[in-house]
Amino acid sequence: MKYLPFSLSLAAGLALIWVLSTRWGNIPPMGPFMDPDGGFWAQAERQPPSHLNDQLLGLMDSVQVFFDDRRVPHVFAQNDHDLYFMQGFLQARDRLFQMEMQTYDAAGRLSELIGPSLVERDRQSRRWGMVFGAEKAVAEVQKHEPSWTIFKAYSAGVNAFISSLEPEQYPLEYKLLDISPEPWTPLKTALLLKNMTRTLAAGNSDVSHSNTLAYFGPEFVEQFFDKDHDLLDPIIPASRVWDFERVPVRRPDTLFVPKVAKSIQPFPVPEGIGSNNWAVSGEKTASGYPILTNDPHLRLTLPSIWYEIQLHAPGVNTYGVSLLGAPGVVIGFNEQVAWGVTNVASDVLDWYEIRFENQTKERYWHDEQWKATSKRIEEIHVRGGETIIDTVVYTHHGPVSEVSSASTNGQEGSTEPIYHALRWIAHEPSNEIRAFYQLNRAKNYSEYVEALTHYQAPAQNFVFASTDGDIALWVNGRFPNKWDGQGRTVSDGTDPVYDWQGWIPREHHPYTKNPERGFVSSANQESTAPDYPYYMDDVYAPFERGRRINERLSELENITKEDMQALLMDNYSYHAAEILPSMLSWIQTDSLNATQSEVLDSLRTWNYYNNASYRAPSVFRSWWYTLYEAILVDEYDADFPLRTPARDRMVQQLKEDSNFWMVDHRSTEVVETIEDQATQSFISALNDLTEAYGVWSDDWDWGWVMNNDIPHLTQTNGLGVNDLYSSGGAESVNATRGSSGPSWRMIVELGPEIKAWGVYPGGASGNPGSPNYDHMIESWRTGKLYELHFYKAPPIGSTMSSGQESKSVVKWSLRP
Amino acid sequence: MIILFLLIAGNAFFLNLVLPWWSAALPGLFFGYRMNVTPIRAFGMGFFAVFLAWGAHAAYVHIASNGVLSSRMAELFGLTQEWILILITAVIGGLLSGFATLTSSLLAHSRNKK
Repeated sequence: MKYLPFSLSLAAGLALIWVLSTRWGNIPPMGPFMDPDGGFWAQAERQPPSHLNDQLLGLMDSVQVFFDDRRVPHVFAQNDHDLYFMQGFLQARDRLFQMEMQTYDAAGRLSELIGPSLVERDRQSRRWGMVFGAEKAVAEVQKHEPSWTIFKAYSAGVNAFISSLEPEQYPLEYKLLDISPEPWTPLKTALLLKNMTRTLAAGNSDVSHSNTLAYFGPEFVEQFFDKDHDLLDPIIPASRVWDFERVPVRRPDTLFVPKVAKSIQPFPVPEGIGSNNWAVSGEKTASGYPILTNDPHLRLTLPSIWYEIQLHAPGVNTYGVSLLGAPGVVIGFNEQVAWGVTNVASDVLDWYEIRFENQTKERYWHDEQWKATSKRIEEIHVRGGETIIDTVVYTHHGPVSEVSSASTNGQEGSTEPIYHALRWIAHEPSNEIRAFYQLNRAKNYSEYVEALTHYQAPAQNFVFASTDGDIALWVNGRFPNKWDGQGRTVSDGTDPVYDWQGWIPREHHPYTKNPERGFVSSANQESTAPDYPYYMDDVYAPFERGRRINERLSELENITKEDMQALLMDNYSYHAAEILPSMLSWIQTDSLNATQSEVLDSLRTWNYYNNASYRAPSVFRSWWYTLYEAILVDEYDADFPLRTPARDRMVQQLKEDSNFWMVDHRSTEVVETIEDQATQSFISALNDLTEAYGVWSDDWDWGWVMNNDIPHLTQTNGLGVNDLYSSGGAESVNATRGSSGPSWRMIVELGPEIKAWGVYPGGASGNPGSPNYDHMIESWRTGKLYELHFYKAPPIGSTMSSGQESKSVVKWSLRP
Repeated sequence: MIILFLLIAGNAFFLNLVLPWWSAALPGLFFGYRMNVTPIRAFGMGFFAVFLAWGAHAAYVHIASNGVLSSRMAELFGLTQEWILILITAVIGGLLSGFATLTSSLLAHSRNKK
C-alpha cells in the first residue's frame, strides 16, 4: 500500500504522455506539436538565410546557389546532373509538403494522409487511370537517356533534402497532420505532370451534351452550342489560309444515341482557369525589341503553384517559373528566347459507352467481336480505416467507370448501371520534360519548334519571341484527328468509327509566325476560324478577353513594358459592355424604390471596368447571374446534368431576340417578358446583395464582393490570406476573381540584354512561418512587378557584381 | 530549494534541444527523488520550473520571429491572442514535469517510510 500514491502519480504521468502523443481528430499530438524546440515553433523563422559553405553528398562537382532579395535561387552548376539535382533539393527545401500533396492527390493516395473523407476523390483518381498514365510516361522517359538522367538527378536532389531532415525539421504541415515525408521517385514527377493534365485537359461535357441533345433536341444544340459569337477573334487570325488537305477519317452515318446518364464531372474545372499570353514584334515597341507577356490563370493557393528559379550550367542559362515536382523551367526565358503558355481547350477526353458480355466484365463488344478486358487492382489505404480494394476494368479505350442511368421522360424507372470507358490524352506515352529541357536551351525559332514536338499534354498555346526579332504562337500538343463533332457526345464503345483514328499531323497544327499585324496572342478562345480543316472542340473560353487583348494590341504603338503591365491589369468587361445597355433598357423603373433607383443610376454611369473601388461590377454580376438563372430555371428542370449556354452565347441570343421562348416561365399563367424578368431579377439581386453585404455602401465595393481569398493547399484556417481588395473579373484580362486568377505575371523584353519582370501571389518559401511565404501578394494585388535578376555570371565573387546587389544576395557554395 | 528549481528548469531547457518533447519530464524524475518536500510542493516546483523554461523559450521564438507563425497558429486553433499559444506550450511542459517530479518524490517518500 505504501507505493500507492507513487503508482497513481506514475499512472497519471504516463496517461498524460499518451494523451499528448496521440492525434485527436484533426488536432495534432499536442506534446510534439507544442514543443518549443521541435514543435511548430521550430518553423517560426527567426533569421534571414545566411551564407553557406558546405558539402552536399550526391553532387558531381561544385555548385553555387545565390538567393536574391526575394530569395529566388540562382543555381550555377557545372553539369546538367548537378543543375537538376539542385533544383530538386531547393524545391524540396522550400516546398516539400506541396510537392508530396500534389503527387499523393494525383496517385489517389490522399486518404492515406488525411483519412476517410478523401476516399471518393482517391477512387476517382484511380478510376481515371492517373497512375496508369504516369507509369506509361515513366516508361517513355526511360527511352530517352538524357531525360531519364534529369528525372533521376532531380529525384536524388529531393531525396538528399528529405534524408537530411530530422522530425523536428519537418515542414509545419507534416507536424499538423502527424505524417512524415516519403522518398521521391521519377514516377512522382510523372504524376505531377498528369495532375496538370487533369487540371487543364480533363474538362469535357460529353455526358451533359448527350443529355442536352436528347432532352432539348438538335435545334436547341444548334442555337446555343454550335454558333460562335460574332465578336470572336480566334487565336490564329481568321485571315490565315489553310493550304493543305486534312487527313481523312471514317465517320458514322448517324450519330450514336447514348443512354441518359447521371454522371457528374468528378473534377470540376471552374471558369477562371484560363490564361493570357501575347508577344509584340519590335516594330510595335518603343525599344524596337520584341516583348512577350504571359499570365496563366489558375486556382490561387498558398504556397503558390509556381517556383521561381534561375538555372545556369554549360549550355543553358534560363530563368522563369517551375512546377513543384518537375525539373526545368515551364514559363520563362533564356539569353535568346522567351516563351509562355495558355491552355488549349481541345477535346482530348472522350467517354465511350461499353457493352460487357456479362457481369464478370471479362469481355466487351467492339468491332463485331468480344474482346478481353484487363483489370487493375487498386488498393486505397485509408488513415484510420480499412484498406479499400477497387478493381478497375480497362478496355482498349481506357479505364471504365460505372454511372447510373436516368430517363428523359421524367419517369422514375429502373436505374441500370451504364459503363463509360475513358479515352484520355493523359494515358498516351509522353515526355513533356524533354520539351521544356530543349525549350530552356532553345536559341531561335526553329529550336523552339523542335522542342514543342516533344510536348503532348495538356495542350498549350506556346507564345514565343526571340532576340532575332521573331514572334510566334503554336497551338501545341497532341490532338486526335476527329470527325466533325466526334466526342462531343458519349461515343459508341462498340464501333471502331468512334475510336480515335490517329492524330492531326504536326505540320497541320495551327500556328502563326511574324504575322502582318505585328503581334500574336491567346486567351483560351477558339484556336482557329471555322475554316480550319480539323475539328478540335466546341468548348472554348468566351470571346471577351481575347478580343480585348487584340483590340488593345492593335491600337498600341511604341509599346513599353508599362503598356504591357497595364494590359495585364486591364479590368475592362466586354461582357458588361455588350449586355448591360440592353438590360438597362429593359428595366421598368417605375417598379423601383429610391435606393433601387440610386443603384440603377450607378450602373448607367459605369464605364464597364471591374475596378475594386466600384460598386457597379458587384451589382451587374449579381443581376446578370440572377437573370440568366431566371431564364433557364424552368427549362432546366431535369435531375441529370445538362449543358448550359455560355455567357457570351446567351448575351448574343438576348440581343438578337430578347423575348425568345425561354424567357417566359412556363409554370405561371402570365407570359413574362424580358422587361419583367430584368426588373424582377434586378430587385432580387439587390435583395441578395443587401442580405450578404448590408445596405448600399462601400461594403458593396467589387474589391470585397469578388471575394479574393488565397487559401492554403489544405484549406487550413490561418494558413491562407483572405479578403484581398482586388480588381478584375472572369471576363477581364486581369482575370482575378474568387480564388482564381493570374498565378504568375511575366513580361520579357528581348533586347541584346534580356529584361524581365514578374510577380506571383505568394513567395519563394512554402513555410507559413517565413516572411517569404506570402510577401509578394500585396505587389501582385496592386499590379506591381519585380524586375527579375537574370545573371549571366555569378553575382558575387565576379567582376559582374555591383556593390548594392551583392549585399542582399546570399551565397551557398556546395561541394561533393 | 531554489537551486533544485533552477536545475530542473535549466536541464529541461537544454535537454529539449537534443531530445524529443517528453524530455521535459526527465529533470523532474531525477531531481524529484532528492527533494524532501510535500507532494504538492514537489508537483508545483516541477510544474513551474518547466512552465518557465518552455514558456520563455516559446516567448522568445514568438518575439524573434515577429509572431509571423504564432499569429497563424492562433487563428488555426481559433484563439484570439497569440500569448495563449505560449501559455499552452508552457502548461504542457509544466504538466509533464510536474507529474514527473511528483512521481519520483513520492517514490522517495515510500522507500523512506519502512
